[in-house]
Amino acid sequence: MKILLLLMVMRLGVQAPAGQRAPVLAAPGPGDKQTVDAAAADRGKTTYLAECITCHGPKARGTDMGADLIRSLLVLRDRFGNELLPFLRKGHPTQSKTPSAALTQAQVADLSHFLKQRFADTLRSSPTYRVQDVLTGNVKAGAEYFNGAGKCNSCHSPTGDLAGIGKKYDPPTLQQRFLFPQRTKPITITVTPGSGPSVSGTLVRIDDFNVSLRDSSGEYRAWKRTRDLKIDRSDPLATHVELLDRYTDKNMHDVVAYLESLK
Amino acid sequence: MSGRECKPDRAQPLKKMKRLLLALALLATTVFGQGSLTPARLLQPSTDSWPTYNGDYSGRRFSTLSKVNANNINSLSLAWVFRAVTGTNLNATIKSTPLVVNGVMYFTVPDHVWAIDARTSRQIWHYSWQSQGGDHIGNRGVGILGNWLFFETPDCHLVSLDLKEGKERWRQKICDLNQYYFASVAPVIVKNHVIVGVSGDDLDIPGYLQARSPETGELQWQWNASPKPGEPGSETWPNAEAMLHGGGMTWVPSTYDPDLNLLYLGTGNPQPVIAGKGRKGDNLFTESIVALNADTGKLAWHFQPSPHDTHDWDAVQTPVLFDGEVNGQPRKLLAQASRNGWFFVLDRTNGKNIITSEYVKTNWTSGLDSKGQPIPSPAKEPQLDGALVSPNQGGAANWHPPSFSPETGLFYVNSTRAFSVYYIFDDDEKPQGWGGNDRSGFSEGMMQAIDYKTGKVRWSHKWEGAIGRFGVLSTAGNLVFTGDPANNFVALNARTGEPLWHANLGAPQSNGPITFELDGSQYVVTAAGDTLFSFVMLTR
Repeated sequence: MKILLLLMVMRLGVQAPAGQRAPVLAAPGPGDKQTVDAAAADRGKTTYLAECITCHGPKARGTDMGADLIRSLLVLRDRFGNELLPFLRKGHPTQSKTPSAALTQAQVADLSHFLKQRFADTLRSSPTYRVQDVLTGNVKAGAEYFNGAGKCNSCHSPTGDLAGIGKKYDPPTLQQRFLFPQRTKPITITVTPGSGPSVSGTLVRIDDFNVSLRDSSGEYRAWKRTRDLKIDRSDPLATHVELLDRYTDKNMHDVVAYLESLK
Repeated sequence: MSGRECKPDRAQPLKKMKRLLLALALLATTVFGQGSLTPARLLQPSTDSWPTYNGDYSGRRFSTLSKVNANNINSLSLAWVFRAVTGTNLNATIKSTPLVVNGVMYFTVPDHVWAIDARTSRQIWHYSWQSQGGDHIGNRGVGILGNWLFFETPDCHLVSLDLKEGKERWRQKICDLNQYYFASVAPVIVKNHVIVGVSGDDLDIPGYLQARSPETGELQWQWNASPKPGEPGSETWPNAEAMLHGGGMTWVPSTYDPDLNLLYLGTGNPQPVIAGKGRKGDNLFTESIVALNADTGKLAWHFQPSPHDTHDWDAVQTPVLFDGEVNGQPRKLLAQASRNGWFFVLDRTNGKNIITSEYVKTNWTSGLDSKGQPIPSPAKEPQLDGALVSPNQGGAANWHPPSFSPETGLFYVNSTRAFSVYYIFDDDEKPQGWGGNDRSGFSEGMMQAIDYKTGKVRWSHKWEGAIGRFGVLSTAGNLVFTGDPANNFVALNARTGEPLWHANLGAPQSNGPITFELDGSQYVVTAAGDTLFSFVMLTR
């Protein structure tokens, strides 16, 4: 397949940039996939706007007049114009009525980069994907929930630990951190063996068979879990976990709006 | 791709049967040596083997062996360790379930197959494939028939090797790498068919299942996960283009009922994955359990765990087959613990729903429809400003195989309860690809033991950790083997869930555990990362 591609590239005189020929195997898709050259894609955009956009649409996803180029097998097979160029040289309608065969090899290669860039826009890893406006809640309702049903004020204060929180994080980050706060205080446990005194400290590791902690003096202590070994734990985030079952999406957006107002 | 044009075999049944018998007779005389894995042996697997992905066709992953049991499990000892060295920096995590035939173990990582001595782990051969790309996320293993081995490659090939020496017999392209397909499924051997599925959800491409010839790899039939205009199921799509690009990958091995001659398969998510407004409707046969005639690929029935999914909750989890009693009547049953957090028991002769229940708490449905299928709540579809949804994209269960014990009547599934916020990133009228994603937060892992007669969780063992995505094996020794989030390989009491034994493997358990008996000793084998671990109860 590589040899075939190389022959096609040679036949068309379309050169794959150096470094593009070794298979890239660590990502989905073909190993010889075309890496988008942003400058070439910008040049290709000019050609696309001039000759293609009316039929193929602003994102190349097609219209009633022209095919979806993101889902086009020809475009998916194309590397640096090696499929597009012979296709366009056969003749294809253009907006300016200029014969498509008149597009230069360089213009077609740039067009290929532009289309590959639009293609990349749709992937799971798309660089264009952003959380949009999450400030759709009501500030007053958020404050009411904070001080009422949510009981957030039993641990947090808008003039204390949350003062200025709206300046500290952008709204999408604020929404994520409010729902799933990062751990700032460790889980503490008290281990009581069947015989011997209780030992308290911060949890280091626990599974069904062993448990360990670091006590206040910094000493590491570990036990095998047995039927008579008692473990009591305190997780500062436990209330946040319980709330996940109680929040409505309206609660979530209202509280985010309220927190964002704390500037 | 051209294979999509292939029509199911519509030859007359009698003619087909004659042809099949002739083919099997030819196979038996020319291919199968003494002791080799014949279609007959695949129907009655012996306890000295693990001859298919699930150990047998049922998907139960239950072993009748009991030399290792709840009373002596603490005498289990390490037999050997084998590290899969590929010589590349690509993913070498062993997600495959090893097959054991005639004392030899066969397993894979993407682009690699090994044959090792099941008693000692001595390498017999190692086959390395020169890849041209594809997602190297994992490979589920091999299929074996006679002296032939079959496996899929990330760059879309089905490859057959000679079982004795690991030499390549043939290769066949089964999907198109340019469309971002890849191949990862363990082939399933049914009679003279090699059943292969395909993977990939980066682009809006259709899923399909194929049967191929074990002799040549040529296509025998293809079933497409989305219908063509006018075909049954097409009414659940808004237009032909949405159907043609509708997804529904087939990336976990199917199960099989030889009496009904039906293959049972779970299909993957519809496309575009998250932004679903261009594909209004239920989107059949994505996110479905389907029953297909093993000789023609013709659809017998379907049931859809996640109609119009927008959360990437592939319903590919193994459809587990067992016979049981429902309201005092013997029934042929199928059960699935689906990625969406719901457990289903169906009559596998016709797909009629018997039980639908939550096996972890979820928040995305507004009820059940008349067929027992969950109704997705529109408010919990991904939103521009986010929707708080449970489970998250990873799901309550994922590809990791579950197990069913006929002795306890319990369905064991390692589970995760997780929340995330689902967003629409691309609000275009014609979204493509993904169009959104989730941002995950809290999760917790647990082993759920579900009573198939009620759908209720009989016992739940919560792990000390966030994830419960580990393969499961149950045995007649009253044991359930699985992994935990602390890198332990664990044995639980099958009736109570009590933790009995563990070995820390240094990495998360990464495949479905297996068990078999050689020389009177029972072995239990699992993988963690790039390493296989074999434990044994040695006989004196």
